[in-house]
Amino acid sequence: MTSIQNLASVDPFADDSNTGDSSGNNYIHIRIFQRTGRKAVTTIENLPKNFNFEKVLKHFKKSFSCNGNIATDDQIGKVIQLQGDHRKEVQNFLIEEKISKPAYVKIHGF
Amino acid sequence: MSEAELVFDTSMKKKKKKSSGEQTAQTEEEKKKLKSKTLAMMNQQDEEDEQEEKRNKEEAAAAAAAAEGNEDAEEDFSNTDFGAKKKKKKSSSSKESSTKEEKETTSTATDKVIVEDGQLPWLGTDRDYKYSELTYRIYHLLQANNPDLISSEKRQMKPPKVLKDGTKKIIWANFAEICQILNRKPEHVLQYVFAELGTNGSVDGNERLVIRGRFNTSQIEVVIRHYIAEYVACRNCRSPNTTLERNNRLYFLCCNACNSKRSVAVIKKGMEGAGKKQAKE
Repeated sequence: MTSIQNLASVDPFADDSNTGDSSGNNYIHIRIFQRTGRKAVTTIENLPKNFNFEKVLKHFKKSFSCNGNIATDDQIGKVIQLQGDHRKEVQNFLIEEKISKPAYVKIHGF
Repeated sequence: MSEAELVFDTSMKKKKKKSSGEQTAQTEEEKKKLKSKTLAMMNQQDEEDEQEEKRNKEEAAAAAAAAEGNEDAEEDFSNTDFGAKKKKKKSSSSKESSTKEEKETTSTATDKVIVEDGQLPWLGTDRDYKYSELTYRIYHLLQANNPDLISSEKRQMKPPKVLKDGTKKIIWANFAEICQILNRKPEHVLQYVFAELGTNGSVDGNERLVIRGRFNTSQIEVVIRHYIAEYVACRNCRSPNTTLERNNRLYFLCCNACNSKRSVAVIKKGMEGAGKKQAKE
Protein backbone atom coordinates (compact mmCIF):
# COMPACT_ATOMS: atom_id res chain seq x y z
CA MET A 1 0.00 0.00 0.00
CA THR A 2 1.31 3.37 -0.91
CA SER A 3 1.45 5.77 1.96
CA ILE A 4 0.40 9.33 1.36
CA GLN A 5 3.62 11.10 2.02
CA ASN A 6 2.42 14.53 1.13
CA LEU A 7 0.26 14.72 4.17
CA ALA A 8 3.07 13.81 6.50
CA SER A 9 5.45 16.48 5.30
CA VAL A 10 4.00 19.22 7.48
CA ASP A 11 3.42 18.66 11.13
CA PRO A 12 0.35 20.68 12.03
CA PHE A 13 1.24 20.63 15.68
CA ALA A 14 4.77 21.89 15.29
CA ASP A 15 5.62 25.43 16.29
CA ASP A 16 4.84 27.83 13.54
CA SER A 17 7.93 29.86 12.94
CA ASN A 18 5.88 32.68 11.50
CA THR A 19 3.83 33.35 14.56
CA GLY A 20 6.77 35.02 16.26
CA ASP A 21 5.79 33.57 19.59
CA SER A 22 8.86 34.13 21.68
CA SER A 23 7.66 31.79 24.39
CA GLY A 24 8.93 28.91 22.27
CA ASN A 25 11.93 27.05 23.53
CA ASN A 26 14.27 27.61 20.63
CA TYR A 27 14.65 31.33 21.07
CA ILE A 28 17.91 32.63 22.44
CA HIS A 29 17.35 35.80 24.40
CA ILE A 30 20.06 38.40 24.61
CA ARG A 31 19.31 41.01 27.22
CA ILE A 32 21.04 44.02 28.64
CA PHE A 33 20.96 45.47 32.12
CA GLN A 34 22.17 48.91 32.97
CA ARG A 35 24.67 49.34 35.72
CA THR A 36 26.29 52.42 37.12
CA GLY A 37 27.19 55.07 34.60
CA ARG A 38 27.86 53.77 31.14
CA LYS A 39 28.39 50.21 32.28
CA ALA A 40 26.12 47.40 31.35
CA VAL A 41 25.76 43.63 31.65
CA THR A 42 24.77 41.39 28.76
CA THR A 43 23.01 38.13 29.47
CA ILE A 44 22.48 35.24 27.08
CA GLU A 45 19.60 32.97 27.97
CA ASN A 46 18.33 29.74 26.56
CA LEU A 47 21.50 28.66 24.83
CA PRO A 48 21.11 25.04 23.64
CA LYS A 49 22.05 22.71 26.46
CA ASN A 50 24.37 20.52 24.41
CA PHE A 51 27.00 23.23 24.36
CA ASN A 52 29.85 23.43 26.77
CA PHE A 53 28.99 26.70 28.45
CA GLU A 54 32.47 27.14 29.88
CA LYS A 55 34.02 26.95 26.45
CA VAL A 56 31.53 29.36 24.95
CA LEU A 57 32.10 31.78 27.81
CA LYS A 58 35.84 31.53 27.41
CA HIS A 59 35.53 32.35 23.74
CA PHE A 60 33.30 35.31 24.51
CA LYS A 61 35.67 36.61 27.14
CA LYS A 62 38.64 36.33 24.82
CA SER A 63 37.09 37.77 21.71
CA PHE A 64 35.19 40.60 23.37
CA SER A 65 37.94 41.17 25.97
CA CYS A 66 35.59 41.32 28.89
CA ASN A 67 34.87 39.30 31.98
CA GLY A 68 31.83 37.16 32.46
CA ASN A 69 30.41 34.23 34.33
CA ILE A 70 27.75 31.55 34.22
CA ALA A 71 24.84 32.08 36.54
CA THR A 72 22.15 29.51 37.18
CA ASP A 73 18.54 30.52 37.56
CA ASP A 74 15.84 28.25 38.89
CA GLN A 75 13.50 28.85 36.01
CA ILE A 76 15.70 29.88 33.13
CA GLY A 77 18.65 27.60 33.81
CA LYS A 78 22.16 28.52 32.89
CA VAL A 79 22.72 32.10 31.86
CA ILE A 80 25.92 33.54 30.49
CA GLN A 81 26.67 37.02 31.78
CA LEU A 82 29.14 39.32 30.14
CA GLN A 83 30.39 42.67 31.31
CA GLY A 84 29.57 45.39 28.87
CA ASP A 85 27.17 45.73 25.99
CA HIS A 86 27.98 42.88 23.60
CA ARG A 87 24.55 42.17 22.21
CA LYS A 88 25.42 42.67 18.55
CA GLU A 89 28.64 40.71 18.80
CA VAL A 90 26.95 37.81 20.55
CA GLN A 91 24.23 37.77 17.92
CA ASN A 92 26.77 37.75 15.12
CA PHE A 93 28.65 34.92 16.82
CA LEU A 94 25.53 32.82 17.24
CA ILE A 95 24.53 33.28 13.63
CA GLU A 96 27.98 32.86 12.11
CA GLU A 97 28.67 29.68 14.05
CA LYS A 98 25.21 28.46 13.05
CA ILE A 99 24.20 27.89 16.63
CA SER A 100 20.93 29.61 15.85
CA LYS A 101 19.09 31.21 12.99
CA PRO A 102 18.71 34.99 12.84
CA ALA A 103 14.98 34.69 13.44
CA TYR A 104 15.57 32.79 16.66
CA VAL A 105 17.96 35.23 18.29
CA LYS A 106 16.05 37.87 20.17
CA ILE A 107 17.76 41.01 21.28
CA HIS A 108 15.98 42.76 24.10
CA GLY A 109 16.41 46.21 25.48
CA PHE A 110 16.82 49.49 23.71
CA MET B 1 -12.51 37.90 -62.88
CA SER B 2 -13.05 40.94 -64.99
CA GLU B 3 -15.95 42.03 -62.84
CA ALA B 4 -13.97 41.71 -59.77
CA GLU B 5 -11.22 43.70 -61.30
CA LEU B 6 -13.65 46.28 -62.38
CA VAL B 7 -15.09 46.57 -58.93
CA PHE B 8 -11.67 46.78 -57.51
CA ASP B 9 -10.79 49.47 -59.97
CA THR B 10 -13.82 51.56 -59.19
CA SER B 11 -13.14 51.43 -55.53
CA MET B 12 -9.62 52.49 -56.20
CA LYS B 13 -10.84 55.35 -58.30
CA LYS B 14 -13.27 56.41 -55.64
CA LYS B 15 -10.61 56.39 -53.05
CA LYS B 16 -8.31 58.31 -55.25
CA LYS B 17 -11.00 60.82 -55.91
CA LYS B 18 -11.66 61.28 -52.29
CA SER B 19 -8.09 61.55 -51.42
CA SER B 20 -7.36 64.03 -54.16
CA GLY B 21 -10.54 66.09 -54.16
CA GLU B 22 -11.65 66.34 -50.59
CA GLN B 23 -8.36 66.07 -48.91
CA THR B 24 -7.54 69.75 -48.84
CA ALA B 25 -10.83 70.76 -47.27
CA GLN B 26 -10.77 67.88 -44.84
CA THR B 27 -7.25 68.41 -43.75
CA GLU B 28 -7.87 72.04 -43.06
CA GLU B 29 -10.89 71.23 -40.98
CA GLU B 30 -9.00 68.51 -39.20
CA LYS B 31 -6.13 70.77 -38.51
CA LYS B 32 -8.38 73.37 -36.98
CA LYS B 33 -10.07 70.79 -34.85
CA LEU B 34 -6.82 69.30 -33.79
CA LYS B 35 -5.41 72.68 -32.90
CA SER B 36 -8.35 73.64 -30.75
CA LYS B 37 -8.32 70.23 -29.16
CA THR B 38 -4.66 70.28 -28.42
CA LEU B 39 -4.88 73.79 -27.05
CA ALA B 40 -7.64 72.78 -24.67
CA MET B 41 -5.75 69.68 -23.71
CA MET B 42 -2.59 71.67 -23.18
CA ASN B 43 -4.37 74.06 -20.85
CA GLN B 44 -5.90 71.24 -18.90
CA GLN B 45 -2.65 69.43 -18.81
CA ASP B 46 -0.81 72.47 -17.59
CA GLU B 47 -3.24 72.89 -14.75
CA GLU B 48 -3.00 69.25 -13.87
CA ASP B 49 0.74 69.41 -14.03
CA GLU B 50 0.83 72.33 -11.68
CA GLN B 51 -1.42 70.61 -9.22
CA GLU B 52 0.61 67.49 -9.52
CA GLU B 53 3.82 69.30 -8.88
CA LYS B 54 2.35 71.08 -5.89
CA ARG B 55 1.14 67.83 -4.48
CA ASN B 56 4.46 66.20 -5.12
CA LYS B 57 6.30 68.97 -3.38
CA GLU B 58 4.03 68.82 -0.38
CA GLU B 59 4.34 65.12 -0.15
CA ALA B 60 8.05 65.18 -0.54
CA ALA B 61 8.33 67.75 2.23
CA ALA B 62 6.11 65.70 4.49
CA ALA B 63 8.08 62.58 3.72
CA ALA B 64 11.34 64.36 4.48
CA ALA B 65 9.95 65.63 7.75
CA ALA B 66 8.76 62.17 8.62
CA ALA B 67 12.06 60.61 7.67
CA GLU B 68 13.89 62.69 10.27
CA GLY B 69 12.13 60.92 13.04
CA ASN B 70 12.69 57.58 11.42
CA GLU B 71 16.44 57.47 11.20
CA ASP B 72 17.01 54.44 13.35
CA ALA B 73 14.08 52.52 12.03
CA GLU B 74 14.33 48.83 12.62
CA GLU B 75 13.67 45.91 10.35
CA ASP B 76 10.11 45.03 11.03
CA PHE B 77 8.61 48.32 11.80
CA SER B 78 10.27 50.63 9.39
CA ASN B 79 6.91 51.94 8.32
CA THR B 80 6.00 53.29 11.70
CA ASP B 81 7.05 56.84 12.09
CA PHE B 82 7.64 59.04 15.02
CA GLY B 83 7.06 62.29 13.20
CA ALA B 84 4.14 64.31 14.42
CA LYS B 85 2.53 64.87 11.04
CA LYS B 86 -0.33 62.86 9.66
CA LYS B 87 -0.83 62.29 6.00
CA LYS B 88 -2.78 59.12 5.92
CA LYS B 89 -5.70 60.84 4.32
CA LYS B 90 -3.75 62.13 1.43
CA SER B 91 -2.25 58.84 0.43
CA SER B 92 -5.56 57.09 0.66
CA SER B 93 -7.24 59.68 -1.50
CA SER B 94 -4.50 59.47 -4.09
CA LYS B 95 -4.84 55.71 -4.00
CA GLU B 96 -8.52 55.95 -4.69
CA SER B 97 -7.98 58.21 -7.62
CA SER B 98 -5.30 55.94 -8.95
CA THR B 99 -7.59 52.95 -8.79
CA LYS B 100 -10.18 54.89 -10.72
CA GLU B 101 -7.60 55.78 -13.29
CA GLU B 102 -6.55 52.22 -13.57
CA LYS B 103 -10.10 51.17 -14.29
CA GLU B 104 -10.26 53.70 -17.08
CA THR B 105 -6.95 52.68 -18.49
CA THR B 106 -8.00 49.09 -18.82
CA SER B 107 -10.81 50.19 -21.10
CA THR B 108 -9.05 52.89 -23.09
CA ALA B 109 -5.36 52.31 -23.29
CA THR B 110 -4.22 49.04 -24.67
CA ASP B 111 -0.77 49.77 -25.99
CA LYS B 112 2.17 49.96 -23.67
CA VAL B 113 4.39 52.97 -23.86
CA ILE B 114 7.94 53.02 -22.75
CA VAL B 115 8.96 56.47 -21.70
CA GLU B 116 12.50 57.24 -20.82
CA ASP B 117 13.49 59.59 -18.06
CA GLY B 118 12.95 63.22 -18.87
CA GLN B 119 11.89 62.50 -22.43
CA LEU B 120 8.24 63.13 -23.00
CA PRO B 121 7.10 61.32 -26.11
CA TRP B 122 4.67 64.06 -27.12
CA LEU B 123 7.18 66.87 -26.86
CA GLY B 124 7.95 67.48 -30.51
CA THR B 125 4.65 66.30 -31.90
CA ASP B 126 1.25 67.87 -32.28
CA ARG B 127 -0.81 64.89 -31.19
CA ASP B 128 -2.96 64.27 -28.15
CA TYR B 129 -1.54 62.79 -25.00
CA LYS B 130 -2.14 59.13 -24.57
CA TYR B 131 -3.65 58.11 -21.28
CA SER B 132 -1.09 55.41 -20.66
CA GLU B 133 1.70 57.90 -21.17
CA LEU B 134 0.22 60.29 -18.66
CA THR B 135 -0.38 57.63 -16.06
CA TYR B 136 3.13 56.39 -16.55
CA ARG B 137 4.38 59.93 -16.08
CA ILE B 138 2.49 60.56 -12.85
CA TYR B 139 3.57 57.25 -11.35
CA HIS B 140 7.12 57.86 -12.40
CA LEU B 141 7.17 61.32 -10.84
CA LEU B 142 5.57 60.09 -7.64
CA GLN B 143 7.99 57.25 -7.31
CA ALA B 144 10.97 59.43 -8.07
CA ASN B 145 10.05 62.09 -5.56
CA ASN B 146 8.99 59.85 -2.68
CA PRO B 147 9.61 56.17 -3.13
CA ASP B 148 8.06 55.13 0.17
CA LEU B 149 4.65 56.56 -0.66
CA ILE B 150 3.57 54.03 -3.21
CA SER B 151 4.95 50.93 -1.58
CA SER B 152 3.27 51.32 1.78
CA GLU B 153 1.19 53.74 3.66
CA LYS B 154 2.98 55.31 6.58
CA ARG B 155 1.63 55.39 10.05
CA GLN B 156 2.65 58.06 12.44
CA MET B 157 3.42 57.80 16.11
CA LYS B 158 3.94 60.52 18.59
CA PRO B 159 7.49 60.62 19.86
CA PRO B 160 7.88 59.80 23.54
CA LYS B 161 8.72 62.71 25.78
CA VAL B 162 11.54 61.74 28.05
CA LEU B 163 12.75 63.95 30.87
CA LYS B 164 15.57 63.45 33.30
CA ASP B 165 14.90 63.13 36.98
CA GLY B 166 18.29 63.42 38.58
CA THR B 167 21.02 61.17 37.26
CA LYS B 168 19.48 57.80 37.94
CA LYS B 169 15.89 58.12 36.86
CA ILE B 170 14.00 59.31 33.82
CA ILE B 171 10.42 60.38 33.40
CA TRP B 172 8.41 59.36 30.40
CA ALA B 173 5.94 62.23 30.33
CA ASN B 174 3.41 61.23 27.65
CA PHE B 175 3.21 57.59 28.62
CA ALA B 176 -0.57 57.57 29.14
CA GLU B 177 -1.10 59.33 25.84
CA ILE B 178 0.96 56.80 23.93
CA CYS B 179 -0.89 53.93 25.58
CA GLN B 180 -4.11 55.53 24.47
CA ILE B 181 -2.88 55.86 20.90
CA LEU B 182 -1.83 52.23 20.85
CA ASN B 183 -5.15 51.24 22.46
CA ARG B 184 -3.40 49.16 25.10
CA LYS B 185 -3.67 49.07 28.84
CA PRO B 186 -0.92 51.08 30.55
CA GLU B 187 -0.15 48.10 32.80
CA HIS B 188 0.64 45.92 29.83
CA VAL B 189 2.88 48.50 28.20
CA LEU B 190 4.56 49.20 31.52
CA GLN B 191 5.23 45.52 32.10
CA TYR B 192 6.76 45.17 28.66
CA VAL B 193 8.91 48.28 28.97
CA PHE B 194 10.32 47.21 32.31
CA ALA B 195 10.98 43.68 31.11
CA GLU B 196 12.72 44.94 28.00
CA LEU B 197 14.85 47.50 29.72
CA GLY B 198 15.63 45.22 32.65
CA THR B 199 14.70 47.86 35.19
CA ASN B 200 11.74 48.86 37.27
CA GLY B 201 9.87 52.01 38.10
CA SER B 202 6.46 53.39 38.82
CA VAL B 203 3.68 55.60 37.56
CA ASP B 204 3.55 58.96 39.32
CA GLY B 205 0.57 61.18 40.12
CA ASN B 206 0.36 62.83 36.72
CA GLU B 207 0.28 59.45 34.94
CA ARG B 208 3.88 59.81 33.98
CA LEU B 209 6.15 56.81 34.03
CA VAL B 210 9.25 56.96 36.17
CA ILE B 211 11.90 54.53 35.00
CA ARG B 212 15.03 53.72 36.91
CA GLY B 213 18.14 53.94 34.81
CA ARG B 214 19.33 56.33 32.14
CA PHE B 215 17.61 56.17 28.80
CA ASN B 216 17.04 58.71 26.10
CA THR B 217 14.22 59.33 23.67
CA SER B 218 15.62 57.20 20.88
CA GLN B 219 16.08 54.24 23.18
CA ILE B 220 12.51 54.44 24.41
CA GLU B 221 11.43 54.79 20.80
CA VAL B 222 13.07 51.51 19.90
CA VAL B 223 11.24 49.81 22.75
CA ILE B 224 7.92 51.22 21.57
CA ARG B 225 8.66 50.06 18.08
CA HIS B 226 9.30 46.55 19.31
CA TYR B 227 6.14 46.67 21.37
CA ILE B 228 4.10 47.70 18.36
CA ALA B 229 5.60 44.94 16.25
CA GLU B 230 4.87 42.35 18.90
CA TYR B 231 1.60 43.44 20.48
CA VAL B 232 -0.13 46.04 18.31
CA ALA B 233 0.36 45.52 14.60
CA CYS B 234 -1.59 42.83 12.82
CA ARG B 235 0.72 40.27 11.23
CA ASN B 236 -1.46 39.83 8.20
CA CYS B 237 -2.55 43.30 7.22
CA ARG B 238 -0.16 45.40 9.34
CA SER B 239 -3.04 47.41 10.62
CA PRO B 240 -2.63 48.93 14.07
CA ASN B 241 -6.37 48.75 14.59
CA THR B 242 -6.26 45.79 16.94
CA THR B 243 -7.39 44.76 20.38
CA LEU B 244 -5.70 42.57 22.94
CA GLU B 245 -7.99 39.98 24.49
CA ARG B 246 -7.34 37.63 27.30
CA ASN B 247 -8.64 34.09 26.90
CA ASN B 248 -7.79 31.19 29.21
CA ARG B 249 -4.79 33.00 30.64
CA LEU B 250 -3.45 33.63 27.14
CA TYR B 251 -3.35 36.89 25.29
CA PHE B 252 -4.76 37.04 21.79
CA LEU B 253 -4.32 39.85 19.34
CA CYS B 254 -7.50 40.46 17.37
CA CYS B 255 -7.38 42.61 14.28
CA ASN B 256 -10.39 44.84 13.75
CA ALA B 257 -9.53 45.40 10.11
CA CYS B 258 -9.09 41.86 8.81
CA ASN B 259 -10.54 39.87 11.72
CA SER B 260 -7.47 37.72 12.13
CA LYS B 261 -6.48 36.41 15.51
CA ARG B 262 -3.15 35.30 16.84
CA SER B 263 -1.66 34.52 20.17
CA VAL B 264 1.07 36.73 21.48
CA ALA B 265 4.02 35.93 23.67
CA VAL B 266 3.77 36.34 27.39
CA ILE B 267 5.93 39.14 28.67
CA LYS B 268 8.87 37.46 30.30
CA LYS B 269 11.43 39.13 32.40
CA GLY B 270 14.98 38.12 32.10
CA MET B 271 17.03 36.95 35.01
CA GLU B 272 16.11 39.53 37.53
CA GLY B 273 18.86 41.67 38.88
CA ALA B 274 21.45 39.74 36.95
CA GLY B 275 24.75 39.76 38.71
CA LYS B 276 23.43 41.70 41.66
CA LYS B 277 22.14 38.64 43.43
CA GLN B 278 25.36 36.81 42.88
CA ALA B 279 27.34 39.65 44.33
CA LYS B 280 25.22 39.77 47.46
CA GLU B 281 25.28 36.07 48.15
